Amino acid sequence: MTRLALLATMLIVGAGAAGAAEVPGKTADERAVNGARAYMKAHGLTTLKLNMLTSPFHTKALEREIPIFEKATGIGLGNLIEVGILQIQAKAMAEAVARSGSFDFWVGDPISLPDAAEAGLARPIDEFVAGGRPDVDDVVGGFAEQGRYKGKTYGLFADGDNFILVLRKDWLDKPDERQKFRAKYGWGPACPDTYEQWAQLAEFFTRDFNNDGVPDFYGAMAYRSRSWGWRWWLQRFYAKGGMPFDDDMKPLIAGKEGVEALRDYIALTKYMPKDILGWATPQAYPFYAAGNAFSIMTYPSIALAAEHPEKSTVRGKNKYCLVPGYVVNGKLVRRSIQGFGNIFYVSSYSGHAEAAYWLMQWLTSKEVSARLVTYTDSVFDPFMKSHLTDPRVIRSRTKEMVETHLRNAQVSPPLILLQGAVEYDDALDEKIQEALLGRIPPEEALQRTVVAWEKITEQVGRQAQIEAWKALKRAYPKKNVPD
Amino acid sequence: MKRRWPFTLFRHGVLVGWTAVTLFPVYWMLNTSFKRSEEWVTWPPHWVPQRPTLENYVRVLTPGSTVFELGRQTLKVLKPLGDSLFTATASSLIALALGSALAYSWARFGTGGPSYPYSVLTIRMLPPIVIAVPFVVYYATLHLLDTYTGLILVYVATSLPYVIWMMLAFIEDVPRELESAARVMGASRLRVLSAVVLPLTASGLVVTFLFVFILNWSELLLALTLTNTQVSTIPITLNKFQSVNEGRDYGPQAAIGTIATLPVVVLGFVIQKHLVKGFSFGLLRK
Amino acid sequence: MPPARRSILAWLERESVFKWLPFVPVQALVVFLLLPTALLVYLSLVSWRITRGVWWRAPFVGVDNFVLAVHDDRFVWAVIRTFGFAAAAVGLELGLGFGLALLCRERFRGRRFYTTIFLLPMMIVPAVVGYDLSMLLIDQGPLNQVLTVLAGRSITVRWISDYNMAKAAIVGADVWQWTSLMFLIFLSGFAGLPPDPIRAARTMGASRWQIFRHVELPLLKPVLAIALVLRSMEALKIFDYPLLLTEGGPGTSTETIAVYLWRVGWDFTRVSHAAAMSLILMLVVVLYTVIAIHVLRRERGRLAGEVTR
Repeated sequence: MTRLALLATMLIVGAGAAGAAEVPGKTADERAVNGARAYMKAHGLTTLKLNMLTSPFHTKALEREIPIFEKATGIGLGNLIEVGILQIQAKAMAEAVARSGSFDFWVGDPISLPDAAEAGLARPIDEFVAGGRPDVDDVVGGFAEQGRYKGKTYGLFADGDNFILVLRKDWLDKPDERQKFRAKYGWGPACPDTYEQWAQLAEFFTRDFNNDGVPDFYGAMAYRSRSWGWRWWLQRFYAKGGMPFDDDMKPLIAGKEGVEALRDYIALTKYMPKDILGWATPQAYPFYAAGNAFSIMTYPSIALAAEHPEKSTVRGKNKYCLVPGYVVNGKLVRRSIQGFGNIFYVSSYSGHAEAAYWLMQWLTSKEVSARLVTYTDSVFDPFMKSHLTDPRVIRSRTKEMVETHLRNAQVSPPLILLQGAVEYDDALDEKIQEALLGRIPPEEALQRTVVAWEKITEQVGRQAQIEAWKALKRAYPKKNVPD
Repeated sequence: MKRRWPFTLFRHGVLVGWTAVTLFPVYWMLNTSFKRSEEWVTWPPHWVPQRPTLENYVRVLTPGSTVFELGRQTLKVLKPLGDSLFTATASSLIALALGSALAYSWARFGTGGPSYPYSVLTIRMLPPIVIAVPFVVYYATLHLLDTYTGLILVYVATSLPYVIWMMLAFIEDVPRELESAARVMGASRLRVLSAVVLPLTASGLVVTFLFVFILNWSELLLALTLTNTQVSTIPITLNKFQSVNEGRDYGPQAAIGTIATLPVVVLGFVIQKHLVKGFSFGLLRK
Repeated sequence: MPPARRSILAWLERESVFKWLPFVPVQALVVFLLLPTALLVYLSLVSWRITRGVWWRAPFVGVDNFVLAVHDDRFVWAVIRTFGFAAAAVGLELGLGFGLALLCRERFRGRRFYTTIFLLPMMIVPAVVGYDLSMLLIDQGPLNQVLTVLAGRSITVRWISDYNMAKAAIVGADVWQWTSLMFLIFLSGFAGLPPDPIRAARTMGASRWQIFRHVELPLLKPVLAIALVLRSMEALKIFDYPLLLTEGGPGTSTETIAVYLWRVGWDFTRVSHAAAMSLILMLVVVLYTVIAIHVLRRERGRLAGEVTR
């Protein structure tokens, strides 16, 4: 080949691979800025407004940070479409049908990725990732995997929502309480290793100060309400060594592990406030922060509420524990669970997918994510190793919490991230609620869920699900307990 | 007259009882809207705010989108208020005009056949959820998603049945002789409408407008499906607080609720004296 | 007047034009609404989920979706539940509305005050009612406090998180809001009663009760009919309260058909199933309403006949 032809070929190939060309910059956020600037230049733009779908849980932090990016690159926020966090799925699916390009990118949970990808709404971003090199390596616990589906990358991980257990240190440290507890149960009291121990703590520390039959200080709290409670059951099920499906996508939840987990789940509820059946974060957090409960197992953002300088009466009185587990075959298996989690996705119908990508990479870089995590009025939780040593993160949540939280992440399996996930979860949730209300026995609840799940699998396509499940299993933790 | 005593007592007893039931939630909403966050959920509940404040109203009325704290979110209400006022008023007026004209045509000329009002009623039978998904596809293709026009069109269609039924009553009340007399004296059809029919049915028009206005003002499902950012009505804003499990910023919610109620209540108050006459749906005539 | 304007007005004068003019936009609008319904039928006959490519290339499956829908327990229960709610709510509203209107029909001191207040609930956005009630109905909320005072002992009903109480809460919300409409309709009905038959009966010596039962009630049957038809049509569509107050929960105790279809279509992406279920629902509602309208027409016709007599 003549030298000219060779040069021409190289140029053509080079131009074609421009999207994958390495973007300069020492850190991910620098590269994002550079990539964005290059994009703007290539398209001859000075300003660009992108639309975003999100829940109000994230708005404040994003509204603070995105203008910084805008100043550096000209890419900023146009319209913010806000819907309740549990309605993002419905909104995204409506857009998948309408294909109107009403938003360029959105924050969604990992559960909705399979549906969003299959529906053609989520756009694969591998080409951008190759050039931009986001800070994926720093993400703990295999969470980064959750932005991938069937071998392609669709999203950038932004929020480590694995559960943590919080105890009231001030009660734990009372000498007479310690004595009485130890005498009764023979250990601690301290952070529990097993669920049984947690139940003992809950039983012991439920107090009725004025003897009116209604507790004033509750031994335990967790979520038991519609659309939320099932995650806490799944956490126990995982700790029992259970897996939701076998290799043929046959549900395994109605076995011994599932039933026992459900029994324990129901049993612990007696130490919780009666209204817990209708509570989620907005009710549970203030209740705990007002000092009404001894322990709570929930999302890590509880730390923001519990350590809030003005609104918490228990600031400084909290002990952050590793999640408890069950003893399986003689070994303790601790399992947290990625109870929600947030990932930035790009819409296939966006006119400026690459620009949206650069903004996303910037927001999920070590530096910017640390800032996002710090804001007390949003719910971004730590998810990178660098957060562990970042003084800002530590200041808003205490060092102990961040350390414990990131250790919990090592043993945090994902929720069921398959196509039709919302439906699997709803079927499970509905039956668990029936069992919780005492309307059907636990065995029946889980068996009925199995029937429902089989129907869903058939409707989605068993073969497709088998393959997706095989891929998903890789995201499960291998360790029994964190280091 | 002596025997009337127990009855009067009974009557007032029942009416006062129902008044209490009616006003209780309304009062509580007003009450909460003036409370600071510490007072929203207390035991025993505070029937009057101990430290009243206007901050909830300020929070929701300032421009912007959301304020969020510790799981509680406050939404802003200016744009939704404007959007709701515009779509509800426009669709109600258009439906009123079209429906009244139609009712007149049917009443006087029998156009459409004797079953027409009944078949029109079938539009109202359709639960909106049934057409939600097809409508998204439909409107997306027509580029009517998230537009005022799109929403107004749907609202006009769903309001028409009620307009027709309610106006039928009033139109049938207008004596035909009056109209024929005017025609004999040389008035054009349009003039008959404006000079004879309109004044006599003014009451009905006003009441019908209020009724469909209420319906369109409160509509949630279609608005939720067919809008995103450009159009945002009050029920959608309220829905952003989502469900039991989401933001429970009681104070600002109550403020929004009060603000959302005001236009309708004011309208209702203004046309109060016409209200009773308007709801017979043409089944009884004096 | 300029000639063009004159000829337009002349054209409008023609009876054929005049009487058909309003129909044109209305029929256009109806056709506009009909097209998505055609799409709905199409969607119910194919197998499509949002996660499965484009809808116009979905495979034809005939009545499979309908068979599935009929066998879907949750769907059947949702329909039964919704009819149950509607029956309970409308029944209570009719009774209360009628009773209150009866008490308010003659002039007395304070009548104006009461009627004004009673009209308030129907002017409030149902979504607002939903949130408002969620405030009132919490465990340690004012409603329980009031009940405690009235009953003399501690009442803490878990209105929203108890399986059966949640249903009562939904029905209660609807009754609270729409009794005012029933009240208005009946008030209107009473006001519109023709005086002659009543006067005639009175001169014949009939007692108050007899007049009520044999003259007024029959005359009011049409009003009852229309109140029943209108209100039940609306009640079957209940969406706002269950979605916002209880989210269909606890469990599925307050999951009305509208809430369930919303879930199936959007959350579960099973659009074709939702379409089939929608059509079945439409059939049920149309059947119900056709019967109701038949009754209505009969009453209206009968009344017209009676009055002229």
